[in-house]
Amino acid sequence: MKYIDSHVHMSSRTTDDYEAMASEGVVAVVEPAFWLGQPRTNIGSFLDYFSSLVGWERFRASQFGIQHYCAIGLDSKESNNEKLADEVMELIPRFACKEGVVAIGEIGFDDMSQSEEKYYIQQLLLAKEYELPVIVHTPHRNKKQGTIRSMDICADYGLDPKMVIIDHNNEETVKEVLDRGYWTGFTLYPKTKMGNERMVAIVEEYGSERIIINSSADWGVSDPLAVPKTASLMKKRGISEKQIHETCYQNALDIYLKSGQISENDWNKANKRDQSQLFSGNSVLRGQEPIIQ
Amino acid sequence: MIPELKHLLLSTLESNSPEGFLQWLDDKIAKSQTEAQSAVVFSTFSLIARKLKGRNEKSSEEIIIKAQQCIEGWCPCEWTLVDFARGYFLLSLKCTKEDFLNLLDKLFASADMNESISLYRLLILLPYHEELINRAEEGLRTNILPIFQAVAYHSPFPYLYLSEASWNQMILKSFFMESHIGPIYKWEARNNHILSQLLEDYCKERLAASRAVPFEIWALLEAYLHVSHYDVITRSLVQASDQAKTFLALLLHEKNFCPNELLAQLPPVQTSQSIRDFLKDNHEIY
Repeated sequence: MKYIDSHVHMSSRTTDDYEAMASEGVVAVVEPAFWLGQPRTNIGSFLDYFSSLVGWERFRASQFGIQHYCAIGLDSKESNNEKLADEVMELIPRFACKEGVVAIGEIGFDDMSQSEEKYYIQQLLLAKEYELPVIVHTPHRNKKQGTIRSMDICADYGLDPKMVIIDHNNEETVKEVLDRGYWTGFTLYPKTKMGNERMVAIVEEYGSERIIINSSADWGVSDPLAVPKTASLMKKRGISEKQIHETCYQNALDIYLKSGQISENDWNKANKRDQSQLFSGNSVLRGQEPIIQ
Repeated sequence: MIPELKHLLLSTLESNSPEGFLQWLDDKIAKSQTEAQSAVVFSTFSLIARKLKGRNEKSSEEIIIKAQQCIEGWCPCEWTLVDFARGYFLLSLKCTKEDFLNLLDKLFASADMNESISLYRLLILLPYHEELINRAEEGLRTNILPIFQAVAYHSPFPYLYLSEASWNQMILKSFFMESHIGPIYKWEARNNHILSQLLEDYCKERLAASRAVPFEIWALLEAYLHVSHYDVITRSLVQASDQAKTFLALLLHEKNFCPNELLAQLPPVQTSQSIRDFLKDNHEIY
């Protein structure tokens, strides 16, 4: 079975992760821009980070047979540094139109502060202007309120729910997000957020329409194999192939297709690994024999 | 020069781009004239790829011949229509030297992989070459092979402008990246003693790691062969392909540099074949 991890921060992951993901059937990943744990203090850091999302990381992924796409945006935490946030807002249009940019994101609330709201709104408007989907990060604390507020603001500014993924849902938020017509993302973390067993229960109760499973694997304790592992558990629990396919592949593809920047052809045709694009000395392979499929 | 180049780029776009594309591009060029650093310049440069998505056909023979008439050594054989459109767009901007160079810096700084490839391929067409030498050197430091080749291949820029040290690094890195040197314009013309020493050291490192020596290296070491190379050549034969052995036999024969103990390990030489013929026949070296 093929999988898309629709939200994963590969810049923080190792080549072992890429190898493992490819061998488990992950054909494509979407890497939303986010914070790096250490807050950035100048615009150059954002410029180089965005450049690496559209440049080096995409190339690195391709060496393991995985197609890499990204979302560009100012994350919620760093929206609180207003001076820098204004500069980032000027930078985003330089990246939003590039090849393989499938969304604006991840954006939204963390502390539910005024400045978070200000830049969230500005970026929703940018997404409308560029006709791009949006990945909305919902807060870890105040989850339910933050999720509802994020959707209310989308509605106030005329965003079509079909263009928006409300991410990091749980049992408390899923019903309202689905009822309001949004794509409903679930992040599977080994210890916090959703666990695999809870996820299976949600699919049993709500079905697979507009539900998207992702790993959000990053620099913290997280599992880049969360999507294939959950798919495997769903299969064991008797969930249909169709529902597994929709939650672990098709729904993510459907929403990002709206950007015009992703296509199944990308991996069906070009997914043959050609590590001879690399060289043996000081790149990703470092002396390993290249794999050419 | 620039009007001729623009004409070539435009005529390629006229015959290959989808309906409405040129009108869209001309409209963006007109909007860009008011302020060269404006958001419209950056977004247009990116959007060209979206507008021409799926148009990946390579340049025709006719275009390649015309290109070589415009600039000796320039061959757009790997160029896509997107590269032509980006070149036409940049050459159409009317701005001061300072503004143009600032704009290029910004385009490079936020370039995605294919934009980087376009920009490096375009170096030879852009004005102010002397100011772009550092940029070419930066491109050669990349670990992304298609970007390296965008600087090194099918362009006279490295031959014309790189210092000897940078040229040598480019050639050495080609071997390091297992990238054929043939598409480097005049790869043999700037051969030098320092490069031969770098390559000899590189051969020894490869052999110490039990790895084969790329046979194209011998084409560059040819002019500097010395008895001290016997040992390296002998050790390289352990892992050498038949192709490499044939090439070495030819080379040693032509140079009349052929001790018996080496000769015994090499295939017989067909005297009708020259080194150059062999390179032409056996790799994309020319």
